[in-house]
Amino acid sequence: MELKIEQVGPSIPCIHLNGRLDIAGAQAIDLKFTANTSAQRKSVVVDLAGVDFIASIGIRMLVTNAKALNAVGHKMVLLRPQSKVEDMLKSTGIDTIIPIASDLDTAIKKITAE
Amino acid sequence: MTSCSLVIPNQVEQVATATGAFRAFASENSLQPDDIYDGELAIEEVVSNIIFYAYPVGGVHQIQVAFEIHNQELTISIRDDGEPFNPLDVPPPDLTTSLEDRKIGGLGIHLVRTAMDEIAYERKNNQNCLLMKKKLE
Repeated sequence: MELKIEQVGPSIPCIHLNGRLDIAGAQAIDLKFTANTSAQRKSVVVDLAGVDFIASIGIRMLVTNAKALNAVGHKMVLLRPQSKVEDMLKSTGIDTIIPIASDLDTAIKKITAE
Repeated sequence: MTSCSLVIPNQVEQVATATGAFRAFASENSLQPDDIYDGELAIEEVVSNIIFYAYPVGGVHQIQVAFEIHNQELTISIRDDGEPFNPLDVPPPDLTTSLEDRKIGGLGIHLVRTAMDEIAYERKNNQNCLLMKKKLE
């Protein structure tokens, strides 16, 4: 599981995830993901295009950090999930609490919109 | 090969052993990507649940995982000798609450129910026996 960080807007980081968000993958990046999302206390885009498998532990990692950001007035937006991963996010209702965007411009607009 | 079984110890690193064995089996039997995903997800969620919660006093235990394809139907069987636990008794999570109120856990069993067509549980010979079936695409 890989995690890379890129600045995509003024004070908006994008976390690119690559690999499987199963137990092994989530455990491998959990601390780094938290350090670069909720611990930063600023809104963030999480690019899921490179994630080909997500289990409940991966969903839990996303929700935990989105909740922490939300509590301090910031947002997480998920970007370009693969279709089966998006199915998992929708079947667990995650799409209703963490916005999903199909391109980066839309993701940034969702973050900057009041 | 239309069936495969393995026994893994109750260690979290072994979840990948079970899912990896299923991926190899699924590939050999030319399963469609969505079916592979669903089978793998069911194994990942059930086996990790057993490892995390079935043995509150610890110790080394064996978990039996088996899968087979018959008449275009995938069957996954998972047995453990941990605390009695029927996942079918778990109420579905509330997926309508706001982000602030959303509970963090409880999604694993819901995902298994979504992925598989049929799930049956029985407690037999001091073992939890879970049988999951899915019609293949």
